[in-house]
Amino acid sequence: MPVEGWLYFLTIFMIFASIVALEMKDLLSSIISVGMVGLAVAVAFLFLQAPDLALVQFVYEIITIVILILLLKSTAERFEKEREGKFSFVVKVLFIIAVLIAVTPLFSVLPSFGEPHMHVAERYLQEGARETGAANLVAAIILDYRAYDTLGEVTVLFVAILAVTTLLRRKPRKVKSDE
Amino acid sequence: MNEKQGMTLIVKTITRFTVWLIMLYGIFLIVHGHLTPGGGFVGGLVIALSFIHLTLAFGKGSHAKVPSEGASHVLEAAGVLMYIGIGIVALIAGLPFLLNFLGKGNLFDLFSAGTIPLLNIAIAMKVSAGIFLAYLLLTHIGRISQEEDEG
Repeated sequence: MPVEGWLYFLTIFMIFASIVALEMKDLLSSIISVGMVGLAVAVAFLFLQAPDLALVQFVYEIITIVILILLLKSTAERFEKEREGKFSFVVKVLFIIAVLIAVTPLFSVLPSFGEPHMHVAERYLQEGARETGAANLVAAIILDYRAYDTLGEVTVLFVAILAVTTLLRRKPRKVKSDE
Repeated sequence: MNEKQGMTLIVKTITRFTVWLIMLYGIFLIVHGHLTPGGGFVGGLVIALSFIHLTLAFGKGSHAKVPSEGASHVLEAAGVLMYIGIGIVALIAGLPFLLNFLGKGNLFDLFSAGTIPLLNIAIAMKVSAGIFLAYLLLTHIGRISQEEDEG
């Protein structure tokens, strides 16, 4: 089967897994379905010949599932409560169809599958190994050509962890009172 | 060793054999980040997973030495500082910020590619400590709510 066939199969699998994750009343099953979506994304990255991204996706998905199950355990409500939907099923389907019709003309602007725009990437592929000395071109791009972007990414993660620490601190820091 | 905490004896025994392999794989991913697929982010996540594996298998208060909350904080901040510091060293040398100023070396050598391996190590410290810190804080949340239920 060609790569496109596997990608179609994986995309349909992901859509079904997301629907299962939304519709399940048991939240543990929902979390496992979300994990299946993430692992299917990782396999899709492997088929698209991006082993770096596939590694990140595999490991990150595992950590996400561990943290989600911890959250589920600490909230101690395994089953979803019945909610009254604001919109009916038909309205949702009509909305999705309308958005699809509105977005379809945009797809014709995108480059076709397997033929990306190579204005900048061509230079990276030809000169990257010589200019940076790194055999792994992904590392050469994210840590040399685009080191500023990675600095921003590091900052974002740092601030996110700071926010988590502030919210979940075990012992509140003692406030000195002037009185 | 405290037998009550953590999971069963089977899990503990297998963890003793596997956790070092997981950690070694993480270190391999970090050190070879500029040669093979991998890098600081994935390697840091794998190392954080090995710590999570240890705490899940042996429970709290075991003899397994995993970083505490304070140590994770320090490691995480040190990673960010190291990343910025490498950039500032280039600035002091009169070059643009974060420029790859070290020698490039031979392609496919372990010590090559200038500052890229150092930046990988900085990111790995930051990511592993940060993710493990988030995990530790979340487990504390669970314990606090249990204590409130009991008391």
